[in-house]
Amino acid sequence: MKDIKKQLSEMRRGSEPDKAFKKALWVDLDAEFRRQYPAFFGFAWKRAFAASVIVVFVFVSTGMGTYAYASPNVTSGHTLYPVKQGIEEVEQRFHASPQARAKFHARMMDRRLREGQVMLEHGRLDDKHFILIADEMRLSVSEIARAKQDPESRAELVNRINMYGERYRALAERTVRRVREQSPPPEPIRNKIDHARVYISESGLDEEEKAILLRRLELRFDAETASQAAAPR
Amino acid sequence: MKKADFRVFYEKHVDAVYRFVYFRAGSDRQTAEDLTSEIFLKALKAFSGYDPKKSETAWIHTIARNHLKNFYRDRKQTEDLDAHAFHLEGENEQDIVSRTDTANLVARAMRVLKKREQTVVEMKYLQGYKYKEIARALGRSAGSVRVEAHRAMKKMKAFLTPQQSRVKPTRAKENI
Repeated sequence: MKDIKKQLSEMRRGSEPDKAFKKALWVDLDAEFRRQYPAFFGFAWKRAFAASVIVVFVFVSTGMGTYAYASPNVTSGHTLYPVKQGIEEVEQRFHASPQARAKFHARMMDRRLREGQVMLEHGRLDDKHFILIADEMRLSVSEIARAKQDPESRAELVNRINMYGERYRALAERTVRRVREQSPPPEPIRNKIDHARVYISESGLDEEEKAILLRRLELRFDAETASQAAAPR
Repeated sequence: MKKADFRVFYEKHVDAVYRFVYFRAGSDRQTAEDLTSEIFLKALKAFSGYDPKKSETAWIHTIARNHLKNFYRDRKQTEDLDAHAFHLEGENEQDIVSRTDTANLVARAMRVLKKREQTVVEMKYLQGYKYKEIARALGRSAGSVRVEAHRAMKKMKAFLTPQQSRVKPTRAKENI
């Protein structure tokens, strides 16, 4: 007797829609889309975008925006941080393809890591910032999975995320060490890395790419958490 | 609304929606294609109002279910989708004859399941969704969905084992 799962698989294969049908349906939907939304940039969207660009232009032309955007010292809590976020948001809209968005989010991950470094030095690094870093990693990884690109460009992007993942891990380790010096004892920091681990595991990357990124994120925290637990309070 | 977003949505759900209507339209391909086209046109019109916080899967399946009910209402048939689910009769006699007995048995086994179990098995093994997506669509935990799927499979296996020992292999209908 065939395994029930195999039988269901057969049923699934037997009920697969015809490729020609799916292609033809998309052509119809594409035509309908153009009919319903004649201009890709609707008028309301144009106005909102134009307003953002004007604000950014004012800040950049006064020099404040350039400083806000470029400096890792402008971190969460800084007066100019909303300006930095605004510029990044505008910049994001200019990246249309998944490949461009993957590079953009990789760059944002790098920026959040630099900010994290500054925040750590000032004793202000918190869970929220680790989640921001993990989010940029997640967004970059999901765009890499979606992008149709040559293997070389893809490998280059995966390597870049790999390196940033290493910096993420190093930052988390330094945070644990720093906080351990203080009292009360720190809460476990593993869950910060787990955000990134879950995102990578559930992404559309190849198994090999996932393994590369996850290996880098593997923390040797067992020894450290054991020593944490054993440390006198 | 970005066309690229709708394209991603379409590629992700078109197979599942097709299968959903296929198994409720007497396994007739032409009908399934027509219904799938109409469902995605409705989805396109409503996409700009879709709330991303809600499950995409649940959203498109709601559109599909409502469209199917209208389809049956127009044909003056019962709008109970469960009554139509997994009947492999088809409209083409050749389809009936060429369908293996195994497929018929599996379809009957699906009808033995409770509605919740059938939904989980269908979404997982026929439509290809992951447990996490199914859980989100049904408003449950992935763990409970996984347990339900396992129990349903056991039930189907228990139904099929005595049935399949009685099945003789069939040959294609000979030309007379």
